[in-house]
Amino acid sequence: MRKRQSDQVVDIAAKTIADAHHFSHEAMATVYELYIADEDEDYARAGAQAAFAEVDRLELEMSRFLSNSDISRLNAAGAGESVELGMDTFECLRRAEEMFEKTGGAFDISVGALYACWLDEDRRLREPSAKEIEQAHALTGMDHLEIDEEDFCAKVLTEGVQFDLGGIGKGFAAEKVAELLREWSLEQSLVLAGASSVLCVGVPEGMSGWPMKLRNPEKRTEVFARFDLKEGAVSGSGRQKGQHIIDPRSSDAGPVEGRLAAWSIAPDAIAADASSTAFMMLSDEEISDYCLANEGTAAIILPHVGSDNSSDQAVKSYGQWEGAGLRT
Amino acid sequence: MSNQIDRRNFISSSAAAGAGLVLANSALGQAGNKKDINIALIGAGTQGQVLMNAILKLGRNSGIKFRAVCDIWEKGNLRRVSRILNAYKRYGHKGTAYVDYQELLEKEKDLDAVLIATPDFWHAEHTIACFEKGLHVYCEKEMSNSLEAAKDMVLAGRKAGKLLQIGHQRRSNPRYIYCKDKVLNEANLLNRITNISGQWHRSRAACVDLGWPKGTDIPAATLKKYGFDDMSQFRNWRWYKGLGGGPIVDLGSHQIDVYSWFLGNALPSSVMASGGVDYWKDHEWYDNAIAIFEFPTEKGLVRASYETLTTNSSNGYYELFMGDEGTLLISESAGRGEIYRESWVEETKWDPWVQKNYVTLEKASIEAEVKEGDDEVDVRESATPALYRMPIEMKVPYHQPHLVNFFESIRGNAKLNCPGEIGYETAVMVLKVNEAIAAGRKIELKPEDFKV
Repeated sequence: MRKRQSDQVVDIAAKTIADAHHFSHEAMATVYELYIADEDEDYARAGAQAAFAEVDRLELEMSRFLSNSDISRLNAAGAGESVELGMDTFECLRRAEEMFEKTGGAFDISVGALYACWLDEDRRLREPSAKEIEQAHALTGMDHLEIDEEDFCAKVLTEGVQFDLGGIGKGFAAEKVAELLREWSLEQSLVLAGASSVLCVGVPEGMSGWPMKLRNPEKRTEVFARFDLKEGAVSGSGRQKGQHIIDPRSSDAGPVEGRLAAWSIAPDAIAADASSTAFMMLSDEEISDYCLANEGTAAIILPHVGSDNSSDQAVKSYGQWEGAGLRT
Repeated sequence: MSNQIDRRNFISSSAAAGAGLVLANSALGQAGNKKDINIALIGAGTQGQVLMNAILKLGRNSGIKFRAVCDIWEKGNLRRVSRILNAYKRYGHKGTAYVDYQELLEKEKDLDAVLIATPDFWHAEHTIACFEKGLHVYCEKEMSNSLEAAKDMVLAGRKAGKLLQIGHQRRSNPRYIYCKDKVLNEANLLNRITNISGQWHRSRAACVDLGWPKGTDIPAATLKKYGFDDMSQFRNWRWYKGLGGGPIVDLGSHQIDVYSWFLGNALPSSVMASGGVDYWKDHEWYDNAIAIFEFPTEKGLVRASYETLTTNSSNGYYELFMGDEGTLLISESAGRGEIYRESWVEETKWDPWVQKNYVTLEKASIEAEVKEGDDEVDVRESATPALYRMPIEMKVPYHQPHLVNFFESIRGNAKLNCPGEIGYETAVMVLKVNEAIAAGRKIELKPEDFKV
């Protein structure tokens, strides 16, 4: 999955909140932000610095752009080769596999070849031949990876499969940051992983939650949802600025159409990050089923204006948006 | 230079002596080419954890087994690392936790080697104690904050007949080795190197003082016992005199080491430097430093500058070697490496090396533009030099090859890439920068200043 124009997807109005110190840091080709409510600004800053150092460390482990990262070593592995991974990458792969299964393969980290087939170097859609698509599909799917049950390693079954944690790594890093902030007793905080994923570590005293806004990415003035995030995470995925999401489930599927953006609420940022991508391509019924099957999960879908569904442009929501005060 | 050759001979013979001892053990049935090596980590902070992770990624069949870890920060580093090691029980690792390194050395009877990643001012005591127990030592750079202590480390290793590897990990990085052996030495693409420059620029945000979670403080008595005034000084020891050496030592040391190494382990004849505590408050060591070295080499003098900043991250970190026919830019940072041919040098001169795949041509030179109607080329406009790349990637964690070199040297299968004698030379070059800044004058260096 490619880098998203993430700052378009979820808005946070926390800047107006008194006592919430704001810190930011560039990493993983985006900007991480922290809002921390604490009396001691220097202490909050030191905690934020430790959190950002953790994100940088994870980037070295998981970036496919670094030749010696765990992911690059997986991507360079020959058929049948077992790769020793760091504990973090290992854990992230396990979660990615879980999300692949839960979403019926709509969320898939093995999509590197597929994206290379459908998009040119400038990330514009190209028209691949049927043979190219077939070849890319032969290199796509989590069945090409065998994650060890006991050791911290994974076996690549097919040479050339290209893994990309872009759709889950930020959520994963957000969870690690939350863990660290809890160790620092800085629970009254909010983690923004490029604002495509927002994770509530805890709500500051006297607040009903962190105020969130969901906007139409094509019409920034149109805010169609406001709610307070009290726990868990919210993630957004979208096709704004001409970006493309490729459905990995079948050779016939190709680029996703019909939806402009999808949001997901989940108990943790990993599930939220991964499911928001899946919600861009799952059917209405599948999304509804997913939300029923997974506690604490909800979805909002913004159909594409002028798409085949244009007669049905209303924002759709699934699951319980508890206290969300959803306005469409 | 004759003293260079002497030095090289000395180093290879001392490494051979180390290997010889391993072979002697082997004869007793205690060692062999694939012998398990039991190790402990003393100093489990950020750098200690980097070393540990690089070793864990060697996998369960590496034969390297962690037995124990030591750190005085019980509720921080020690707890974290001990937990990780215990999670690797199936790999044969064990994370028995110690606050007191002497207790670790007493109780852990089956150790072969120790990794030391404590603050610089502790390196000598820890290293020498390990040698006295008959253990091999991998010690992080800087060897020590004191040259006398660094010398003692080398002497103790010789006396014990054990190996001392210093953590200048670029010396084992395949990209660096490739550039030195293939690009500079064999193909000689730069021809005569006349100048070197290099830098490590770090942003202000990356240099703010480190904190620690509430409730994890080291008891005051323990801090005092180990030479720290308070918890903040423990976390930020690099900035304090008597404990660390500031950014020129933390960052510059790696790169100044490469200057010498790429020049065939040449040693500088002088250093001058400027620096100061110009920006950060409550820091004792210079927050920015600029140094100039003179390296006499067989081909002539090489003048080399180095700069480290803690307020601005412009252009990050790299080493730049400039010869009269070409330029090499190399950095440990992800894949950063460029080779340029001076535009007056004929392309055909480098073509054979492209055909042999020593380097790949990425972008041919762009000739200075001749405007229509002009009779001649404007000589003030220089042509864009041709860009070449080295066809080699770093595919394993940064510190892993250097650690493997250490372990394979213990097994008698390799020679140390950075033995204590080399580490000492680098320590002299780097610590003399701080001395030159304090003295406010150029410091002359003699070959014997680098000898242990």
